[in-house]
Amino acid sequence: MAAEFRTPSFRGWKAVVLHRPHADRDNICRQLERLGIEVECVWPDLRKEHGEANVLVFDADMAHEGQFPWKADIQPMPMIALMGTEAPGRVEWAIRRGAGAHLNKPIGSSGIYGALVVAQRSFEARFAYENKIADLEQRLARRPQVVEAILTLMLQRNCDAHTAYRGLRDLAMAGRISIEDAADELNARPGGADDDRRKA
Amino acid sequence: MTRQEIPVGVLFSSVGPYAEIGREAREGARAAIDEINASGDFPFRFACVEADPQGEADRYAVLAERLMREEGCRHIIGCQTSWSRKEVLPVLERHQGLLWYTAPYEGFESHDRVLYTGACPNQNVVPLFQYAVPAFGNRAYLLGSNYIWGWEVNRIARELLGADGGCVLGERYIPIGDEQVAHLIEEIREKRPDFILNNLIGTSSYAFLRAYRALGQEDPFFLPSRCPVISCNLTEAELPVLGAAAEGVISTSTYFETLDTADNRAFLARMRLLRGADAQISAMFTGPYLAAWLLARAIAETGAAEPQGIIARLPDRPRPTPLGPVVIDRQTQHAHLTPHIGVVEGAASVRDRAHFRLVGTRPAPLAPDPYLVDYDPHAGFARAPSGAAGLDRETGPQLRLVT
Repeated sequence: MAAEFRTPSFRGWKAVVLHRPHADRDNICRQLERLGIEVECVWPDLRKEHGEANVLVFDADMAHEGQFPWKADIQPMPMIALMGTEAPGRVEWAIRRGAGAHLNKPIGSSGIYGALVVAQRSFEARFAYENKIADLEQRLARRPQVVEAILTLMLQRNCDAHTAYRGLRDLAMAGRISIEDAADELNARPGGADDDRRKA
Repeated sequence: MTRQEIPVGVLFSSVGPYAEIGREAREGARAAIDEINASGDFPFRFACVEADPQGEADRYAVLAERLMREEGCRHIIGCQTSWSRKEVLPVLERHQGLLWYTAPYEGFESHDRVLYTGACPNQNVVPLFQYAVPAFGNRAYLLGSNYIWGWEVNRIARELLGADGGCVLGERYIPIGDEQVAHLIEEIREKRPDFILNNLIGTSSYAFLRAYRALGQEDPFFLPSRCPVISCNLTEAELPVLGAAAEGVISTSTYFETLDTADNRAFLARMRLLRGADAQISAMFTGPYLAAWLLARAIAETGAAEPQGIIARLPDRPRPTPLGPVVIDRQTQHAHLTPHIGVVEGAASVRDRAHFRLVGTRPAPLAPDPYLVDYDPHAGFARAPSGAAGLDRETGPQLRLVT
């Protein structure tokens, strides 16, 4: 739909640029400032509070593991790698460190806008996937409870597995909860699914 | 005393699909260079070194290379399509040259080797929509030639319309130079939009405007008063070739011949002496004309034609030109410009001369915002005739490129 696409705007963002004093660093800063982004240059070591920046631009040639105060599996913000050497080890490290986009050196007067859009989009996508995977893993771990609830319903209602599953799903929908939560609730009832009915 | 001669590249297409505006641009650069050389105000003279890519995008880089490597040009005034500009960028980087790009364009670029003196989106499509949406509605049909200008301007248009609660009833592209427009007319007839945004260029645009005028004569719904064609790049340069088909088209530009200022009257009088009483002067002419003047001022001030010194010294302060002072923004290397809105009148008349009647302007120039950093498309459009976000709809605008 027409209203969905918004021109990406980075106004008000804070960027940290991890790069030694150099013309490439100056060019990156100039490009970022044109986009309304506040820039802080850092070298050699990042501090913990830099994790709160909206984007990190880092030198993939000279930067190394020891400069980061957070572990590689924590990626607090979108990151852009500046690459001079294309040695596979360096590229691999940049990816592992969280680069969602890169720019080739020497840095000229263009490229950062596109890199920001790509890095932000891939960061958001990764964040969404990670949340979804965590959710699915959690639901997968509760499969035995779902099976238990279906078996209880089959016994109590004298029905097949398909009908019992539909019954469980109806309970979940009626309570606006997940199937797993509905199964837990059902399993917790002393008399199973028919507990309410029997009481009545 | 012989003055130092400084070669200046002039890179426009005088044949091909957009030859009308290319020739106009070349004339603008030539006129300014002649004036500068004749003025006696400068301790140098410009040698105008022309190259003609004939409308072929791939020829621009080749010719720019020749201008810089063989002809010794450090500056090129040229390129009209964004496609051709992007082709030339690597050449400029290689030779550390400077391109003076004077056409309106879609923004999202700020290259160190380019000075942008044409309007970017906050100075073209945004003010055009601030005028058109309150006046005609927010259901639009979007058209473009199949390259970045049309794609990106239409994308911005789509966002502006969506944020206003409006919609895009159709979005179609045809190749540059294609004159097959019957399917576009059919779709427009069926969809009945509030207006049409035309980002076609050159001969495609002429074919469309002719066919659309015929549609309006068949069905009054499609007359300009009810369902106009609006444009970010129709100028006086194309009115003669369009004839009656241009009647009622609404366009935005940072220059119209009808701007009623002392500077413009004097300028037009000089240009008509030079080009004949019937000559149409347009933004396609004044863009390169002003660029040449800015270049001359900058060289005079820095004492050298070296682009680096000019980029360092030129921005931020107004520099005089025959059409008033111009400011270049340091951060983006784009000009501060005043967008005007004009409607074509007199194109269907045998007595009148086709011209743009001004229907909207601004009291002061707008700072360039090529990445739309400071503009919120979701702020909506002011419906009141002179609302805060809207243009001043009173006629009688002043040509003040800069205050």
